[in-house]
Amino acid sequence: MPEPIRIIAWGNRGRSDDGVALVLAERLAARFAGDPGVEVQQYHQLGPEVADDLGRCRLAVFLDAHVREDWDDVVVEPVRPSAGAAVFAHHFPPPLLLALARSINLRVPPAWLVSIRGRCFEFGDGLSERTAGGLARAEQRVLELVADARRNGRQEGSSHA
Amino acid sequence: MSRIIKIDPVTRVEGHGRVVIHLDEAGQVAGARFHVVEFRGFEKFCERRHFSEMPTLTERICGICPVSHHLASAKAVDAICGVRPTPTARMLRELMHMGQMIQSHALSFFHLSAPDLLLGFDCEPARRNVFGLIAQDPTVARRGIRLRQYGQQVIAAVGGRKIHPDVCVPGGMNRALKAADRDALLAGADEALGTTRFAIDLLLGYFEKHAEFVRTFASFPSNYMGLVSPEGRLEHYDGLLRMIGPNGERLEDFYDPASYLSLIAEAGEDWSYLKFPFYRPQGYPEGSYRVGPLARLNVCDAIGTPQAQRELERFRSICGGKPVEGSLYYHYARLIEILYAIERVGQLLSHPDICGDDLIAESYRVLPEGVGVIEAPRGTLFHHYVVDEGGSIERVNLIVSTGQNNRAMNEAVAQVARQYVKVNGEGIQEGMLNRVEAAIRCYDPCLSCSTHAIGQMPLIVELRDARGALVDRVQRG
Repeated sequence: MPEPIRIIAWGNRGRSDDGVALVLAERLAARFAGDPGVEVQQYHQLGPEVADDLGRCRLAVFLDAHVREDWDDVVVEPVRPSAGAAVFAHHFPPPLLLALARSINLRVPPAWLVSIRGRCFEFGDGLSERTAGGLARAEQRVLELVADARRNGRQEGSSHA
Repeated sequence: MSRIIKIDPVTRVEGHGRVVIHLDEAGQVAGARFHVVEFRGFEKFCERRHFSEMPTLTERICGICPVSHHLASAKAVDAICGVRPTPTARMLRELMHMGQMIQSHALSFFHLSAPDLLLGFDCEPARRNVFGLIAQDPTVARRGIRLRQYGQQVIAAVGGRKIHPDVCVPGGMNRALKAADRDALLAGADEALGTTRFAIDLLLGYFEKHAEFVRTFASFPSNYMGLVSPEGRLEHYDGLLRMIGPNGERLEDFYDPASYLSLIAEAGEDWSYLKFPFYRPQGYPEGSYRVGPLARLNVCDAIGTPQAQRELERFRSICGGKPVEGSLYYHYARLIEILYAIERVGQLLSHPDICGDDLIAESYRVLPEGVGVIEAPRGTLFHHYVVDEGGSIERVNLIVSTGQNNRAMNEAVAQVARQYVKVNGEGIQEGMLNRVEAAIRCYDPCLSCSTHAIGQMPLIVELRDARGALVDRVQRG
């Protein structure tokens, strides 16, 4: 059985739009329920143990909120391993996790970050209207990434046959 | 000319912190302030919610120790209902708490503090991190990850998921432990114990090689507070409060945590958002005290598991039975607590009723207030709720461990700065910065920012004169 595709979301549902990735993750978990090829994981913060999961998947799709005013509301970008200056708190961002996986001799999967712009980070349970409006497009982009990975996987499988 | 050194923010410390070191006209350190941006708004956010929602709401305060808030809140909610959980539910809560202790302490030691100790404080910053550690010895980080995973496995087995478990309800738990999960956890305990012993050997090897440095680094007398069992043993989930003085004298013993307001008051400083709790009878700042692993080992008489008890005896020998003062010993205490937590997991899992289904003690009462107190990984955590007749929250008071260690962190930074700051004509010294950060990291502060960090946090250090003019500036990251 091929290694799974991992969808890894993080954020805080108690801080309004900071929880947008977790809302998206729930939608995706419902969509992929019963599909052993896709695992959806939710975190408040990413810790070093996620590196271990990365070493056991064929594609990682990270989901997050972003706060860049000059970016599109939904941004899809590749993530590459980077230790940078390794300036971090208890939180391990995706490039650092990929670098950590590599440094402990785990396989580094191709990885993407899908982020939705957050506008309100006050205490609160719900999403702002505009941030919630980005969910459908972000979900579609994740589905495309998953479909691409599966198509490529099949092609690789048939070329090896 | 008096000058100021700012370290803004501190790396590998949760939330947003800034260090300002004040120099006098002779260039000597006059004092230090660890500035914290704390969001007290969470207490306001909880008002008018029903009290039964609190265990789920409050675990969102923190990405590092949500289980601790969930449990402290559950205990406060039990108190409002005037009910004690069933024995099985109580054991499951403690089991989950031990998982939290293991995973939180493992992250603190293996990934945040070990680089300081094993690579050296004068190692270049680009290498003095977990990657430098892996380059030197890949097994340390790998074993640290597996130990943290074991703690998370415990949390997931009890709580159904690794983050934000939603299992504590008034009077108990809403989910039983599966026998298969119990067996899997028991099977993993030996490796977790082995990793912890390995870490203790590493740390004590460092302590032996740098004995004088370890003894004097950020070392100062203080009061200490923590929960103890009715027998005076180390206790994290239940128990009574004990406060001791700098020489180990008992200031308060077996104090009912529900009466904490008679024991503790909070002072404010105009330069800090974070409160400064203090022992009320001594006033502020004389009554400042420390909490967390070091304090817990200083206040308890014994530990109820064999390996941790043996290690406690070694710990006690450091100061001939007197309280251990050096901040670097927080790391040793943290590892002893991991040892205890793993052994305690084994004890709890071996209880014949651990997989039982008698999980909830029912109650239909709503008392006007409830207090829940536990020992979170970083120290004593208080949740206090006042409700109306319908159970709506009217007032919330949370006292977190980082606040209680606030004064101690300031003292630790000031002491390290006094020892290492040499700014006259030399600008800011890298080695001094490393040591200041390391002093703060001993306390593993979590500043409850509640929102995950977006982007990379740089380290900026500024040296300013009395008029605010920039004298020197260093940026890292």
